[in-house]
Amino acid sequence: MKKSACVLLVIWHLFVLWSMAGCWNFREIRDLAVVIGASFDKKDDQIYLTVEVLNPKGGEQDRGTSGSLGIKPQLFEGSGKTVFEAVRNMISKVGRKLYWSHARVFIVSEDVAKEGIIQIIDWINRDAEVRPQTWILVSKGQAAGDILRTRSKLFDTVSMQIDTLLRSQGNSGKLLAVTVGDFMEEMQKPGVGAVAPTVESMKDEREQIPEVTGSALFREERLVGFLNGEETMYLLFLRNQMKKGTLIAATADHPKANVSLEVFRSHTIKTVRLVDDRPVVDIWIDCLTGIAEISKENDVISERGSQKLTERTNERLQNKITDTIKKVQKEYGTDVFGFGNLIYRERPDIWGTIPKGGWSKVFPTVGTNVNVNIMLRGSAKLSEPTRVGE
Amino acid sequence: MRRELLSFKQIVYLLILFITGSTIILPVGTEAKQDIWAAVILAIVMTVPMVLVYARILSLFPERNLLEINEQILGKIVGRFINFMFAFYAFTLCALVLDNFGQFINVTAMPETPLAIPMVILCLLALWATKEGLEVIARSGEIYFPIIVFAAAFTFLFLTPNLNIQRLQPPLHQNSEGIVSAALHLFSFPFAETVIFMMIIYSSKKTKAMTKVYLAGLVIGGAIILLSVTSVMAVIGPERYQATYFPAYLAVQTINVGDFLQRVEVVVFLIAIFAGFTKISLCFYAACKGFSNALGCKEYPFLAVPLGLLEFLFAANLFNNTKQMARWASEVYLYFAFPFQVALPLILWIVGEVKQRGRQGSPEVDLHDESQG
Repeated sequence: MKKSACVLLVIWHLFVLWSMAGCWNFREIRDLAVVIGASFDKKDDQIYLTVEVLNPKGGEQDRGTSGSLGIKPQLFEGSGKTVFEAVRNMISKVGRKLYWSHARVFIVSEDVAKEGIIQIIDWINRDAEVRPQTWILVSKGQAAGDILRTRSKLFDTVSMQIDTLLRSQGNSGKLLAVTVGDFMEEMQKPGVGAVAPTVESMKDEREQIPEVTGSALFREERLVGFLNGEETMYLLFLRNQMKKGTLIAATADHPKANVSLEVFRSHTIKTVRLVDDRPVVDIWIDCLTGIAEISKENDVISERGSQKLTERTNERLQNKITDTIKKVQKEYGTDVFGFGNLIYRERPDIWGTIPKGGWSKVFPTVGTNVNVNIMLRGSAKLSEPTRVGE
Repeated sequence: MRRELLSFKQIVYLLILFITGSTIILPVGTEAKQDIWAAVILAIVMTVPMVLVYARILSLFPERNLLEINEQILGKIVGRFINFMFAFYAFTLCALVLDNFGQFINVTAMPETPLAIPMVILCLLALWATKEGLEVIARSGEIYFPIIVFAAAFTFLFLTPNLNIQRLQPPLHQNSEGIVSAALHLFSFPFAETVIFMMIIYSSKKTKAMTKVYLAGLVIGGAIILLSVTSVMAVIGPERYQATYFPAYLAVQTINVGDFLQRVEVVVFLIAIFAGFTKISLCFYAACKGFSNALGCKEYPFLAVPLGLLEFLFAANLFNNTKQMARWASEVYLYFAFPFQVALPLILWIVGEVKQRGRQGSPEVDLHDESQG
C-alpha cells in the first residue's frame, strides 16, 4: 500500500511538472510582436504611434548585408487619445499583442515634446514591460514616424542603427545619449534641465537615412530649443560626460591652417561660489588629447609650437564654451548644465535662499568662469608635420 | 508538548532573513530622501534598546516564550487576552507581507496572473512549514541564507558602476525631520517587528546569550538593509525612489555589464521570495502558536490549515490596490504596531523584573553562554 502510494505520487508529480510548467502569462515567441522601436506623434489631440516590429520569419534567403540577420522590420501605425489606448488599438492591426521589453529607441516628435513630454514618458516609465534603459530621442522638424520610415543601409532596422550609434556615441563626442530612466531623473531632479539627442532624416545618395545629431533642451517637461552637434560637444564638456571625440584647433601662425586634436580623456570639475550674492560657477576642464591631423606645414609638435597650440586651443575652447552657456542662458533659460543641481548638492545653504521654483529666474544671471587645460600626448604615427620638398 | 530547539546560528539567520524579508523590495524611508543611510542607522540605534528589552524578558523567564510568560505574570485571563492580541498582530503582519509579495509579483512580473495565485502558493508553503514545525523553518533558513548572501553580493558587485555619489548629496542638510520620520518608520518596519521572535523562541537558561543573538541578528540584518537601500538610492536617486513602488527592482534593471550581463531583475525575486517566505512562515507560526495559546489548546498544528486559509482570504482582501498598500505602510502601520513593539514589551519587562525580584532577589546571571534558544 505504502509503496504503491509512493509510485502514484511520483507519477502524479511528473504529470503535474510536465503539463503545468510555465506561468499564467505563458506566451510563445511566435505569438509575440516584438517591438524594436517606436515613435510618437500628435495630430488633432490624437497620439499617433508608429512601431517597428520585428518579423521573426526573416529566413535565410533574405540575408541582407554583412552583419545583418536578415530580419525584415514591419511598420505599423495606430492612434488613440492616450499612448496606452494607441498601443492597445494597434492589436487590431498587428494581430498580435505588442511585446515591449526589447524596444531599443523611442522617438518623440518635436511638436509633442513642445507640448509636454509627460503624456508620452509616463506610460513608458509606468508600464511593466517597457524598460527604462530604452533610448529616447526627439525628431527635429519632422514627424517622428518619418524617422522610422527611413532606411538603414547597414542594419536590419532603423532602431537597431540608432541603438548601436548611441551605445558607441563615445567615438564621435558630439552626441549625448539619454535613456528614458535618466531623462525621468533629470526632469524630476532639482536644478537641472533634461536633454535628449535629436534625430533627423537626411537624404544620402537618393535614400532617406536617419541621422542623430545635436541635442534637444527641455525646461521642465517642455522642449525649448536645440543645440547643434558642436554645441552638444561643449555641453558634454560641461556635464563631465565627454569621453572621446574630436576637437578642432587652429594654430597661431596661419589662421587658416587647422590642427585636429583627438580627445582621449576629459574631466570636468565645477565649483560654486557667491560674488555679490550672485552665484558664480567655476569650471575646470582637464582634457588629454593627441594631435590627429595637421593640415598645413607648420610646426605644432615642437615644445614651443605645442605650447602655442595648447594656449590657443584653451582660449578658443573657453570662448566657445562660454558662448554656449550664454546662448542657453539667454535664449532657452533651461539649466541643462546642472549648475542649479551643483548648488543644491554642494551649497544647500545658497539653494535654500532661492525661492521654490525660482531657479529658472536665477539661472540666466549665474556667472561662469571657464578654465580649459588641454594636455597634449603625442602626435599619432608621425613625429613631424608633413613637409613639402623644394 | 514537544519543545523545539534552535541553535544560536539558526536564530541569527532567521532574524536576518526576517529583517531583510520584504524590506528589501519596498520603498522604505522615503521621507529621508538622499539621507536614507542616516535614517537606517538611526533606526538601528533606536531598535537596540528595544531588542535588549525583548532579550531581557526572555532571559528573565527561562524555558518560556512570550506567550507563556504573559500567562505566568499577567494571569490566565489577561495573559491570554494579550496573547490573542499578539497573535492577531502576527496574523496581520503575515497578511501584509503576503500581500506585498503578491503585489510585487503582480505588478512587475505577471500582470495577467490573478493576484491570488502567487499569494495562495506562498501561503500554502508557509502553512506546510508551520505544520512541520519551527525546526524545519530554521533549517530552510540555513539553506536560504547563503543563497541570499551570494545573490545580494552578486547584485551589489554589478551595481557598483551605476552608483553615483552625487545622488546622495547634499548630505544631512535641513532634513532632520525627514530623517527622524523615516527612522521611526524603519523602526516599526522592519526592525522592531522582531518582537514576533519572542513568541516563538525561548531561552533555555538565564543567560546573556539571548541578547547576543538578538543584537547579532539586528546588526547584520540592519547592515544588509543599509547597504541595499543606500546603493539603490545612489543608483536611481531620491526622486525616482519615491515615485516607484519597488525601487530595488528598478535599480537592478540598470545592471548592464558589457551588453552581456543584463536583465538580472530575477535576482531580486530570488532574494525577496526566500527572505519573504521565511518572514511569512515565522509570522504565521507565531500566529498559530498565539491563537492556540489564547484558546487554551496545548498543540498548535491543528490550527494551521484553518488559519492558513483565513490568512489567505485576509491577505487577498486586505487592499484593493498597490497604492493602498503603500499608504498603509507609510501612514498607519507605525501606530498600529506601536503597542506590540514598544508599549506591551515595556510593561511586561517592568512587571517581570518586579515579580522576579520579589520572588528570589536579584536574578542571578548564568555565565554559561552555550545556551540553546
